[in-house]
Amino acid sequence: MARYAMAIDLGACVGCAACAVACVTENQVPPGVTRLWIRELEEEGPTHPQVEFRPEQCYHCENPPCVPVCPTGATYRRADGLVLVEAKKCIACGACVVACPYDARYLHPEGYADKCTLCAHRLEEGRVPACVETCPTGARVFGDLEDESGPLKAALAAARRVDVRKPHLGTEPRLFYLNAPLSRGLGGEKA
Amino acid sequence: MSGVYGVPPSGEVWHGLTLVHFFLVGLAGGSAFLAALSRHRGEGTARNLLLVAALFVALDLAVLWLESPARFRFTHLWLFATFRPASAISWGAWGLAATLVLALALAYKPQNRFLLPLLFLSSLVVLAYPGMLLSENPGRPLWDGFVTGLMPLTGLALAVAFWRVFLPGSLARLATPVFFTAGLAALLYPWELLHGDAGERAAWAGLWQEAGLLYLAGTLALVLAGLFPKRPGLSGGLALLGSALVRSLIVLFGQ
Repeated sequence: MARYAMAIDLGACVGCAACAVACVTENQVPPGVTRLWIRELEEEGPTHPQVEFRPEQCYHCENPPCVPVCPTGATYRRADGLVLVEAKKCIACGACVVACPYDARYLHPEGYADKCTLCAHRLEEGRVPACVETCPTGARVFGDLEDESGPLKAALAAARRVDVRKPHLGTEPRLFYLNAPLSRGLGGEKA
Repeated sequence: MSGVYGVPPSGEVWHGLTLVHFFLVGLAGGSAFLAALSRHRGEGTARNLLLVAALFVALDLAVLWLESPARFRFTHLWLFATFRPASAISWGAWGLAATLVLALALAYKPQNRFLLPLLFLSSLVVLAYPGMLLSENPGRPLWDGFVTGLMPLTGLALAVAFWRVFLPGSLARLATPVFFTAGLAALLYPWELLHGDAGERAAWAGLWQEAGLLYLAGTLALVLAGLFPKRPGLSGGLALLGSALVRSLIVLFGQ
């Protein structure tokens, strides 16, 4: 069984937001909400300011806090690692939105919790998520953690450093940030 | 941080009517508990207390339905007979439904021996559920384990306060200890946060900066409510205001 995950090379991300636009187009995300956004962080470096463009989205955690709090089972984690929402079961109570420590969820205007699906519909067709396909610098790498010879494992192995957000929470995000430009790791996070 | 492209999706999810729910659910759970206590003691007012408790539960469910963006799916929780023990909302939904049925049943079948302990249990679930709901979120440091105690206490204080205002002769002996305990817990809460980790200290600083005086006013109102046992209107009014403020601010700023 595949174990899907993604890596984003922050050393290569230029913050163009093509991924965010591709996501909106592919998934028909309504105005006013976003499945994917870019955080720009600037910190003083030893000689000059350092800038980090960090795309953020649902991290499809290994231990997703959004799943157990759902009262109807609408939010669930698939065997391949994707954390998804079954809209017709969702009562829009907002528990999962609040439970997500990464603020990756929102309430869709049609009355259900929504977020990044890693383009599950594209994966079924053998394609990669829209954000990966559209990234002009190749900063995004999607793959299977079980595939030792795949592009994801290669990117992780070649990285100068690998970070995840808020590791102290024990959620084990399945989106890895590679080569964070700030010397102490991800900007705005605990070192 | 210097900027964000796009809109980080989550903001305040619970606001407006949700805050009314957090107020009503405390009132409903506390009233049901007091009604069960009253029935246990064989007091003449028990039937009225039971009916009012049922009314609060019904009002709370109506508010939940009104504030839900998925009104047509709202009853799925019960229709599908879903119960997920790890979900506080599951406990709350079933607790409210059970309390409504039990309070009504006990009002009309006072001699039934099984209903009373069940109502005690379901009212405790309703009282406890908001604290459980808040504290199950690891990424929200304002909602630490302390709120699992603070929310039921302020919920009970809400119900006692309501009865002190609208039925001044009732609950005179219970009022002062309940108001004092809730007030003390509300006072200890920031102290406990300030002795927590960096996230908890920052979360309290955020609340303090935006609404610190309001929180302080709520806490003081609760403590002061305990000082006027012979003036039920004043005491109850202060406790209602204090509990509502403390609960609302915690929900609003913890998100």
